Amino acid sequence: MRLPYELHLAHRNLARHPGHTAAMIGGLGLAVLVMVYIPSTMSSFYNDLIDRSIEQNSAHITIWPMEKSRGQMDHALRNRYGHSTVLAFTDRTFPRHRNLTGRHALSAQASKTSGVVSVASFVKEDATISRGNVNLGAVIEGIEPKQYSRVVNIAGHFPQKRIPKLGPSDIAIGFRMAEKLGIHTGEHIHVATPKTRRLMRVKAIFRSGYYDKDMHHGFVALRTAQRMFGMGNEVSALAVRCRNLEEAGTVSSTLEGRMPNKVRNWMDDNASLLAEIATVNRVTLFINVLVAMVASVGMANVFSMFVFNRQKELAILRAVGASRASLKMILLLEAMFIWVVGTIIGCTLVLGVMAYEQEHPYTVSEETYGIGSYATHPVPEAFVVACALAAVMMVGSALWSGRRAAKLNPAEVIFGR
Amino acid sequence: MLLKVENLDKHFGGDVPLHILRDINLELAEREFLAMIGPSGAGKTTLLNIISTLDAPTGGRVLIKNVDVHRLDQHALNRFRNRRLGFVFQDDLLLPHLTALENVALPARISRRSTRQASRRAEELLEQVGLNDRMKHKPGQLSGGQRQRVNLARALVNEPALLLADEPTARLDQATSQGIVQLLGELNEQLGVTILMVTHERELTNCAGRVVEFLDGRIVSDRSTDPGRRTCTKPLDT
Ligand SMILES: Nc1ncnc2c1ncn2[C@@H]1O[C@H](COP(=O)(O)OP(=O)(O)OP(=O)(O)O)[C@@H](O)[C@H]1O
Ligand SMILES: [Mg+2]
Repeated sequence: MRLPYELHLAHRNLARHPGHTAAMIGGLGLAVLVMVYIPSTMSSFYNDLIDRSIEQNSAHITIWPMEKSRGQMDHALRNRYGHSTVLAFTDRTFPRHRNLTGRHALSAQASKTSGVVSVASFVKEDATISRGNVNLGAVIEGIEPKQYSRVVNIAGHFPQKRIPKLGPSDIAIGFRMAEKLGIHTGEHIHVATPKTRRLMRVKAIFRSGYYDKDMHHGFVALRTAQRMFGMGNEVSALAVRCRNLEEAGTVSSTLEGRMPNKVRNWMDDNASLLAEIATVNRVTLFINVLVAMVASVGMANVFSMFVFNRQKELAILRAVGASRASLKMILLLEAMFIWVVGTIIGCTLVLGVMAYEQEHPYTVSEETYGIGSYATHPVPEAFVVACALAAVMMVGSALWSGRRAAKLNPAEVIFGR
Repeated sequence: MLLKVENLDKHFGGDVPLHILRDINLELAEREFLAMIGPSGAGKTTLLNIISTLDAPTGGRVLIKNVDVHRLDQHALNRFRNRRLGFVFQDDLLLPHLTALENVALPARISRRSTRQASRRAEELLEQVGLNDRMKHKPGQLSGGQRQRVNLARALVNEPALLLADEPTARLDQATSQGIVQLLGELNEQLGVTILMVTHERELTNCAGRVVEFLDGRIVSDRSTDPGRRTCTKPLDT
């Protein structure tokens, strides 16, 4: 065997100070645990949040009716009411055309745009739902289930993970609304729109995990909605799904360039959430760097104590011909050992914590976040970053304490000068 | 000449400047066993440290096999300490967490000999110094005399050109000291190891072929002993 003697000595040194070694391994393991856990838990939480609110509740991109520009609106008002009345109206009076016209052409155009996976039209209007003397304001959404589920992933909210077939007088409502109305599947409710009032059968009760949706939302068939709101063959808007979330920005600006309509993507709709995530990511990174720095200082201190306590031995090695590089190598090998064992322990612990969370997820306020519970998932990047930071810490400590030890004059240490 | 010390001077700075070595000239041939004797504080250790490259001279130079040892670069110096020199210090300098065998094998490992080779050589030497049954013991489990013998074996493992021994018998009793010195005499006679030994007890110079007397940083006498008059007896088992 030609194992370098540096390895042998490193092993002996660690084995001789089990307490010291265990303390360093434990400290490093703990630092790794924290450095993996904090970013993982934050990003898991926000991924869940984004998944719920974007993938499952709204489309990547929505094409709304054209917005009237200020000039056009003035013009329209003047035509209708004469010059004298213009000042009495604000531009909020006619924010946009009520409905989307030419939806088939728009839909075809959107489908052809690269990055677009599917397009669905929908109706979205306000109505009142009542049963007995309980009245609830609700948003009625008219969809073609098959087509719509290709755009927004809502099927999972329904029993059997399928959007039910919606007949002309069927409605699907959220479970909170059902509780509030004291109603079960198969029973009937009244739905009143400005145009009509009709009795509808509750075909299914869904659970979106999104408070507002579960309380104030009802799905009906597209044709039913068009009839209820007197829209003829028009719809409210088009929902567009992109290949992935990240592409939504570029696709929406392409669409905006090609059509006169108002095009909004999920990032516009969730700007405050995204800003919050960006802030949290910054804070998380800052905390991680802080943890790494504190741990580095601690580790470097412990390590230089470790080295200082055997200055004499290192001096003897120098006296019998070991090079400075060899001394550094011994310390480096010790550091590497601590790194390997410490990161394995830290990563194992953090995986254990995450596994525990999968079994016992945190509950959070649904009203606030739209998700009722969440658990930390392992985020590979967090592991890579934490292991790399730990390696830098250990190698840094070893070289820092080794640099001083290697420079010592062996005679001075040996003869105690 | 194996060792040539030329016009060596050593000052120590500090609050009270000291002139410890004054113009030392000394030559040592191969296979010689030189004992250096002098009172405490004479500068013996200082001289030995300079010869062993652990300290630098203020003036003059040290040639070992015609190499000026204080002009070697770091790499060559490491090699030189490892391959050419064997030390036995006034205090025993063993690594406490290595066994006797591992301590002895260490310089051989540093010179990148295989573990097997190094161990075999270390075993031979430990046998030679009479420690066959203590190879797996750590320094803490050995007596002072046994530790010094381990030191001696370690100093010899790379077959050095020159063995420097600075009071190898310090802190040992009379009989044990005698045993160590006799061992040195044996190594010198049988293996032809060149030895420069420092002591301050005249009785311990009985195995040396040459005795140099040191006083106040100067060599005051230098004489060879007649091989017939040496009173070096068989080593005692300590
Ligand atoms: N680093 C130093 N700085 C200042 N003075 C020193 C230093 N090292 C040694 N000395 C002085 O040099 C003198 C010689 O010391 P040295 O150790 O060589 O003596 P020695 O002959 O080996 O004595 P002993 O027999 O007691 O070991 C002493 O007076 C000591 O105080
Ligand atoms: Mg001395």
